[in-house]
Amino acid sequence: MRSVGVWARAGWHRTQPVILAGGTALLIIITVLYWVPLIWWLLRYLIAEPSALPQDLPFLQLVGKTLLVSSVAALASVAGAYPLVLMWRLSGEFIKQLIVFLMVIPMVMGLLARNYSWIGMMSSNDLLPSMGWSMFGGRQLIYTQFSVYVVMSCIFVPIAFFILIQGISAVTKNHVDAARTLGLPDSKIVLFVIMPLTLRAAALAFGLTLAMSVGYFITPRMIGGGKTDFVSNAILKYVNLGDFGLASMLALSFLAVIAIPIAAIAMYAVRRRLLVTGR
Amino acid sequence: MVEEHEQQLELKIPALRVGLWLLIVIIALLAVLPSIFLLLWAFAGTETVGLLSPHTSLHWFKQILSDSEWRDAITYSVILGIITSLVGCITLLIHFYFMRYAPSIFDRVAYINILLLVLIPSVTYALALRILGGALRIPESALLLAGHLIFVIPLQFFMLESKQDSVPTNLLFAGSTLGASHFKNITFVYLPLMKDALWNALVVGFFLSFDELVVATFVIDSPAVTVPRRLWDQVNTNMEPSPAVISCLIVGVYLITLAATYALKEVRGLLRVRNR
Repeated sequence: MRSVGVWARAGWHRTQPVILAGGTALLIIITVLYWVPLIWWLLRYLIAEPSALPQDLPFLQLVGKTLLVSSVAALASVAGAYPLVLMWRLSGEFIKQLIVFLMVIPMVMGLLARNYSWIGMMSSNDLLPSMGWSMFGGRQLIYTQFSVYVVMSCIFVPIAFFILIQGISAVTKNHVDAARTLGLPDSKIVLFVIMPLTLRAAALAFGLTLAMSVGYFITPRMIGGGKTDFVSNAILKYVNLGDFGLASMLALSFLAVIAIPIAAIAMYAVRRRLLVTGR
Repeated sequence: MVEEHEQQLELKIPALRVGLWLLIVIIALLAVLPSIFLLLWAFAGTETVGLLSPHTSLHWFKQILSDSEWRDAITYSVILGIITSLVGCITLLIHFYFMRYAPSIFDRVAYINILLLVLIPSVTYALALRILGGALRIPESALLLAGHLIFVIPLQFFMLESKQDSVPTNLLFAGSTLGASHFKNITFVYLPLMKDALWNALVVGFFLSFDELVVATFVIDSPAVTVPRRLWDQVNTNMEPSPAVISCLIVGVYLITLAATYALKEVRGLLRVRNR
């Protein structure tokens, strides 16, 4: 009886079939294309063919490195995107478009190509081909963990920028006018009005960038030169060797480690959306 | 009328502006320098990494465009990009339209699903897709289409969602009240209001799909490869400027699309003024 009551309260009994069909179109696509393969794979390797990770695989070390490098890169990319977003909000149309253009072009150029270009720049001894990196000892930097931090942060700056834009758009002229009326000087408006209003978006940008970077394997492989491998690199290695069982166990173990942070970020994002848009 | 969130915030803090500009120059340089290097590499690249030729030429462009394997890879990526971007946009258009009529729980469930697509590491999904595809003998192209679609949908979702507030629900309800079917309401009311955002989502979706590597790395076993997979396969073998050439071609297409969109808008504006 209770379930009927919930059904009725949700208003589903009044919903036309065409609306139900249209409203679930996206969910059906995601279920068929995403959840079915993922759940089938989970059931297969958790229940039907479970196996253990090899003793000599430094799983915890891999996870630690993945989380450390990803967190630093995510934090640095949000910190790097912040001045751009702030200037974007404080500027006129031309500067706004220029900043957006500067962020879009690297994204269009492609992920792999940008990693290739970092190898090219850091490998060169000449000033022009190295784009100035030769002055900072680019050749010594490449294939180190530091270079992975730098390149991953630079790669994720545009992504953090576009997430932060949503947050800073919520800061309106009315907020600034109200703060001014209350006697706050312009210098403090940035610190006490604009920054706190964008904090939630910054947290979301950090969370989403972190989530994207933990599953990343391109920069650690290309720029780290095998010294800063992530869990994803190890998974890819086993796939290339044809050992899908081991690759799956590694992926499942990693998923178990990051399941709680994923759930926390998802809940935070849902709550933020509810607060901001009411949906 | 300018929207409230689009009005410029005027703060008189010269020191902050100078500081921000300095930071922006450094960050922009770090973000843009690789793109500039790619341009130089495409036109003056050599087979030695980090070594540029003193002369610029179209040598590498000609070499890639005359190579049938590269042409096939570009065609494959373009077809995948167009199909996934189109399917993603159409699905999301239908989704956001019906969210005005459906119970709000649908919207929340869809949002949580989209978040999970982003948050769960893509290697996990790519691995699951690969193993399922192998077990059920699903063609590689179908797996790639599925993977690309799942990769593209979240970004298109966020792009289109941010435009929903500018389309009043009452307008859509008015259409329904006046007897329009949902199909007509979408075609003649919702679509015209969403067309700019939809076009942007279509373009971004295409470029995102074109650049997709994770699913391609896990799923492709046959000689028919996408552009990113081909570039990935040559990471250890050669340092020819092919990535730079492909990037320049993509940026060229992007800039042409941007210019065409702008020109089309201008022409439409002129025609509208003339018709008045």
